[in-house]
Amino acid sequence: MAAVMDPVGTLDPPPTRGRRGVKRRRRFESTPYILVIPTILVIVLTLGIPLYKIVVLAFQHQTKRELYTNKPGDWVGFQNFSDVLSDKDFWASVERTFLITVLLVVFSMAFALGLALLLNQVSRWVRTPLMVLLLFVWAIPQIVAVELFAWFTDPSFGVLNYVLTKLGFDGFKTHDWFVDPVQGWIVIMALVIWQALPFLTVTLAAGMSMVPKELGEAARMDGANPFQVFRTVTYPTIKPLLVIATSLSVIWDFQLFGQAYVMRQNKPEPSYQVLGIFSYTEAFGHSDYGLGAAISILTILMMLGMMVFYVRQMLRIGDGD
Amino acid sequence: MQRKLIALTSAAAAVALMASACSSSKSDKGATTQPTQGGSVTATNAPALTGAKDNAAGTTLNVWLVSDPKDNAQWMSIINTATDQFKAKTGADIKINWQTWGNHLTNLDAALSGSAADVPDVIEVGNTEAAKYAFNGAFADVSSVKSTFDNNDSWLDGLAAPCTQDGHLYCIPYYAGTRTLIYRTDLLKDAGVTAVPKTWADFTAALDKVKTANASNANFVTYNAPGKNWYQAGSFVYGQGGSFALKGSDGKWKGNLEDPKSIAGLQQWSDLVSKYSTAASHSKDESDEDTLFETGNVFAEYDSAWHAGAVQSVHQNPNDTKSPMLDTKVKGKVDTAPLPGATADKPSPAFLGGSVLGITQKSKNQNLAAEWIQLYTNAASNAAEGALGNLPNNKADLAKAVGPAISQQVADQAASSWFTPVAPNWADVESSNVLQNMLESIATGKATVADAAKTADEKITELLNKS
Repeated sequence: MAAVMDPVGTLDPPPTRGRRGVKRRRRFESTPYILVIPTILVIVLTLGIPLYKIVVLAFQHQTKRELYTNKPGDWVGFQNFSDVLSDKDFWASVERTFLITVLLVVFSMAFALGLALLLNQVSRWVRTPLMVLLLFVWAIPQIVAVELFAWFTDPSFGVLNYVLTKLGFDGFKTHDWFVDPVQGWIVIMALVIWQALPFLTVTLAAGMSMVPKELGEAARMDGANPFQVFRTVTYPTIKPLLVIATSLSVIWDFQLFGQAYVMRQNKPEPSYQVLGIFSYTEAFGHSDYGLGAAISILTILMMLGMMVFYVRQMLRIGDGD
Repeated sequence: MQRKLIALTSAAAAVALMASACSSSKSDKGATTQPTQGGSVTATNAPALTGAKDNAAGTTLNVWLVSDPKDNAQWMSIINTATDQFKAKTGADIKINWQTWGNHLTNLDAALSGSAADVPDVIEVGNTEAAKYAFNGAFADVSSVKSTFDNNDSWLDGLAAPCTQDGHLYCIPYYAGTRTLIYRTDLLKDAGVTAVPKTWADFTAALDKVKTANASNANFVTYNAPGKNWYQAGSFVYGQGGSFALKGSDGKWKGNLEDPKSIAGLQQWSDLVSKYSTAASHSKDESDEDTLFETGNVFAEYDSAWHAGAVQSVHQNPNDTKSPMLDTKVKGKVDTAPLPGATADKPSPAFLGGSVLGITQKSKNQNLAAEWIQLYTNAASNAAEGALGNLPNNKADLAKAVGPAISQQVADQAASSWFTPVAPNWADVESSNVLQNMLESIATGKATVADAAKTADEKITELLNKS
C-alpha cells in the first residue's frame, strides 16, 4: 500500500520540533510534477471542461430553440435552480434516490462480506468454481443483464411466474411485478446487487486473504468467538478496502439509471423515477438543457454531502499508516 | 498530507465523473441566427430558400432517413429513381445517412447544434415529432415552394397539420401508416358470430361470445390492450369527441382530458381493458403484443395495419432479416377491421402515424433539397409507396393506391383519423410518458378515470405552455 501511495520514495520520519532546525532543506524535485502533467491534462480535458460548461449552462435558459438556431442562451441567474427546488417531482426522486442508495449499499456490502467470509472458509475445490461463477456474472454487460431480469419477471412469458404457478401459488399466472413499486424495486435491487457482488466480493476476499492466519489462531486460542475474531482481527485489516468498496458502491448506486430505465421499457413510471432518470428526462426529453445542468449540479452537491463521511475515513486511513 | 491529498483528489474525481456521466453539455454558441418563423412574417412574404437550383454538379445533399427502406429493395428503388432524376436535373447527388427510430432524435439534436457544414440538409421525422423541429427554428420555412409539390392541396391532415403554423409550411408530408383492429377470423366464427361487428354494442357482444367460447383456455386473452398503448386509448377519446389538449383563445394550451367527452372515451377504454384484456399487459406498451398474439391465445389487438401480416409469418432468426420466413400458429386466420364506433357508419377514428421531411434552416442547399423532396414525394413515387403498403401522403393518390397492399378499409380509416395536438411542445408530453402513466394507473386500478385525467391534464398544461 505504502509503495503505491508514495511514488517519491520512503517518507522521512515525522519531523519533531527538536530536529526541524537541523534538517537540511530538501532540493526541489521536478520529476514527479512533470510525470503528473499528462494525467492532469486528461482530467482537465475530460472532466474540467464539461464541468465548467455545466456550471455555465445551469445559469442559462437553453432549450431546443437555442440549440437549433445557435442563439446564445439568456442568463437567468438562479431561475433554473429555483425551478428545480420548487418541483415536487424533484424532491420525490431525491427522496427515492437516497432510500434506494442506502438499501442497495447496505445489502450489497452485507452480501459481499458474507460471501467473502465464506470464500475464505471453504476449501479450494469450492472456492475456485465460486470465483469463476462470480467472474461470469461480472462479464455480463449491464443491458444484457437487465433484459435477462426483465424476461425472468415478464408477466406473460416470465420464468418466475411459470415456476411459482407450477409450485402451486395461485394468482401468479399473469402477475405483473412492476405494478406494485415495492415489488418492482425489489426486482431492480436484486439485479443491481447481483451485478455488484463480483467486484465487491473479490475485493473483500482478497483483503481477507492478507489477514495473517496466526493472528486468527492466536485469538481463538485465547477464547475469542468467531464474531470477536472478525471484529478484532479481520475487520481492522480489511477496513481500508471496506471504506473504498462502500464509497464506490455509494457512487454507483446513487447514479442508478440503466437498470430502472430499461427494465421499465424506457418509459419509467413516476414510482421508478430516480435522480438520474429525472435529470435525463428534464434535460434531453424536454430539451431543457439549463434545467438539466442545474439538476446535475445539485446532484454533485448531494453526492459530496454523502461522501464527506467517506472522504474523512480515507483521510484517516492516509494518516494511519 | 500527501496521502490526504490523494484521498481527497480521488474522491473528488469520482464525484466529478458521476456528474459528467449524468449530464453532458450541449450548448454551442457562435452564430446568432434568429429564427425566422412566427411573428410578423406572413405566408405571402415567406423567405426564399437558399442555394443554387440547378447546375450544382459536385454538390452532395446530406439526407437523413430512418432505416425502414434500407433492406427493402422495392423501397430503395423508389429512392434511387427519384435520385437519378434529381441528378439528371440538377447535377447534384445525395448521400443517405440512415437513422433508427430509437435514437434518431438524440442524433438529430446533436447534429442540428453544429455548424452548417455538418448539419443534414433533409431530415425525416415522425409526424408526432415534427412540431418540435418545425416550430423551434430547426426547419426552414418552405411556404414559398409549397406549390411545387404534387397534390399539396390534398395532403393527409395528420401529416400536414404538424408542419403548418400560422399559414406557414415547415415540412413536407412523406408517407403514413394507420392503426387498425387485428383479429382472428376462426375464433370469431367458432363463437358463432357470422358478420364482422360494425357498432360498439355488436362488438362488445361478439367479444363476450368469444370470451365464453374460450373460457376453458386459461391463457386466453380476448382483447390484448396494453396499458401504455396510448394510440389505442386515443381512438376512444377522439371517437367520443374529446381530445388530449386544446389551444385556448389566449394562445395558451390546456389539457383536455377532464372534458366529459374525453372522460367518456377513457371510460370506454377502461371498460375494454378491465373486461377483455389481461393483467399481464396493464403496465406494458405495445412492443410485444405480436409475440402474445402469435401464441394463438389472443383474439384481437390494435396496431399498425402491417402487423396483421407480421403476426402470421416471422423470420426463423428474428435477428437476421435474411433468414427464411416461418408460418406462425395463426397463419391464414387473421384479418383487419375498423375499430367499431357508436354507429355502423362511423368507426372509431384511427391514429395516423407517419413521416414528414424537413429542410434544415442551417442548410446551404435548401433549393436543391426542395427539388429532391419534390421528386421523392411526387405522384409516381407515391404510387410506388402505395404498392409497398405505405399510405401515400395525399388523399388523391391514396384513393388510387387501393389494391392488394392497401385495403379499402385501411384507406377509409386513414381518411378519418385522429392526430395529436399540434403544439410546439407536444413531443415533451410524449417523452414524459404523461399519457402512458395516466392509462397505466387506470388499468391497474391505482387511480379512477377522473383522478388520472386530472393529474395528466395538469402535467400536459404545464408542459405545453413552457417556453
